[in-house]
Amino acid sequence: MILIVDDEADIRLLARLVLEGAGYEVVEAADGTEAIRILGGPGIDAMVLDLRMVPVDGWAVLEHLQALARVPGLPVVVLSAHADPAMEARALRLGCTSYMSKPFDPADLLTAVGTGVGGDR
Amino acid sequence: MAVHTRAGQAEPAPDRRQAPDEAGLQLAYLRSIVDASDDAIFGRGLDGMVSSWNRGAERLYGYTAQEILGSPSSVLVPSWNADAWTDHEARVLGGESVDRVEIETRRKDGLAVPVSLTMSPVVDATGTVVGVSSVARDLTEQKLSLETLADAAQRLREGEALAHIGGWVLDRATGDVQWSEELHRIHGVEPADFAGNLEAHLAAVHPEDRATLDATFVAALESGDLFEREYRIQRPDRTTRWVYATAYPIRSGAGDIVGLRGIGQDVTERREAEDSMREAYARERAAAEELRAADRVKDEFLATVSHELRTPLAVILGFSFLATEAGLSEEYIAPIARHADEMHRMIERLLDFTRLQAGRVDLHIDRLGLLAEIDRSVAGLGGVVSEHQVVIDVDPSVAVDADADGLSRVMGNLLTNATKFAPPGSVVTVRAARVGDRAVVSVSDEGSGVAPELQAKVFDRFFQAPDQPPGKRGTGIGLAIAKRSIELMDGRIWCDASTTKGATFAFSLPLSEKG
Repeated sequence: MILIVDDEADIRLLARLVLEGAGYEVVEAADGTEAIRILGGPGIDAMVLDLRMVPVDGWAVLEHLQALARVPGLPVVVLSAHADPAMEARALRLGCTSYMSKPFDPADLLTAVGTGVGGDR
Repeated sequence: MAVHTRAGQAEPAPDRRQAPDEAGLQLAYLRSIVDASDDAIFGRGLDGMVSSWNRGAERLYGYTAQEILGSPSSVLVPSWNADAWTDHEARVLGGESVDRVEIETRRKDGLAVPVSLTMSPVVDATGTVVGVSSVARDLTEQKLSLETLADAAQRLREGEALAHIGGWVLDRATGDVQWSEELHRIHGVEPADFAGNLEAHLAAVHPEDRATLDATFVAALESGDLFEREYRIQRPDRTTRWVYATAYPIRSGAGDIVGLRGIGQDVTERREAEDSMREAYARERAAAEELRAADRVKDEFLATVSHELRTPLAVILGFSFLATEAGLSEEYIAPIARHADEMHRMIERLLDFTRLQAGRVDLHIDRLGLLAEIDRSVAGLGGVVSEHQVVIDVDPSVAVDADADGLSRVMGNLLTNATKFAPPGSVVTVRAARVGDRAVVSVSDEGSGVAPELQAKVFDRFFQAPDQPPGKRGTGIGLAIAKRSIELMDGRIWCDASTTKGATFAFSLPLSEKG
């Protein structure tokens, strides 16, 4: 199951439609707190993560996963509004699998998630 | 009172045995000689008071006979010479003569005047000394005619007035201060209203500067060092002026510091000019800082807005894609996607621009084969150049040292502009040439060209060409970005004015040294 974390409902819907269209099961979270709660349970194979959210942002989620040593085991595709090399480098250091900036090509999202979960749908 | 000298040549001792008439005649004769002398000739009695005063003395000292007769002769001596003067007088009263000693005496206006002084005892018929006669010759005037002197004094006054420089003297022992005519004028104080002492001198100084100047005087009198000061004075008419003063110590024969001699110059105009210049400079700096701050705010605003626009764009583009996938009419969806794409490109350019402005850009300078890079740039533009014929005339051996992203950004911009302003089907030519240690790349189109008066402006940010084709308006920062990118890579970019048909833009980059 793929966890989509974004505070923008339409982005979540877009990602959901793209991923479900490719056969994935999807669960949504609107901020970092909710994401961390869901990640505490079983069944999450990969995550699509926005960075700028309130009150708990994507960085906090990444740091949380790193502290629990869940990454790099769990594939994380960061989907950010910032096409900033410095941010990308920081996210990769924190264990994200791939970094994409908005707007994104749906095909690229599928590729990133597919690479992460090793084609296992 | 009859005075007679023993040693003085001018007034030989009279003889009681002479007939009264003859003696009277002799006296009148002598008086005429004394009066006609250019030297100051004066006498004092045993009481120390001035007892005779000739015209020469009036001229030299500035006192009339009426003013000085009966005054102590010590008024003719500055305090620092008081002891020497007393010594001389004591010797003469003891019957000796003092012959042509050089000494500074004091004029009525307080200024010191060096004289050659001869003092002789005055004896009565019994040979008793009853007074002192003095002949003082002004050494400053020694070799100058009176006319020349008057002229020189006039010129000094004029010079003082023109330069706004006045002179002053401080007598340490008495605290007396003398001002020259111009110094009175600078202070706006009539000589009659000036008490002529240090208190009055300091009272004219601005209260905030008074203590400092007082301390400076004290220090200079102690150390004997020359001093310079600028301070404010307050004139009786309540105006404030700036005065530059410099002074050096006056020393007695024994080397003691007995006073200060200085000048004062009115420097108000200079100070005011300096102040207003400083203020103007400060204002300009503040304005420039404000502008820079506003510029930073603007850049940050652009960056923020551009980022904020990415999310709605992602939604528009994403759903356009899904709508097409879902089989919704391409006819309705395509324009949405096209314009969202264009908006995306504009946002990317704005972000490029703000990053370049803020210097937040990493350059990776590599050896790049020009032809391959240009080919890649053209391919990257895809549909943008599909309606034009792009001719690439570049020697494959030309290589430059440049940043690949920067070069493709510049090529992309120049090619996009060429296709925007030249009609579909026309030719866009890319050429490259080696010029010295540079490669010069040019992009020429067959469009309407760039008006000569606009050629310098096209690289300004937010410049918009007046003849932009409808529906193809951009952000106006493409060429500004290109210019900044090229300059960061140690190159130059320009609009080639020599072309008569279409527009030619060219840039230079360093040829690669590695071959």
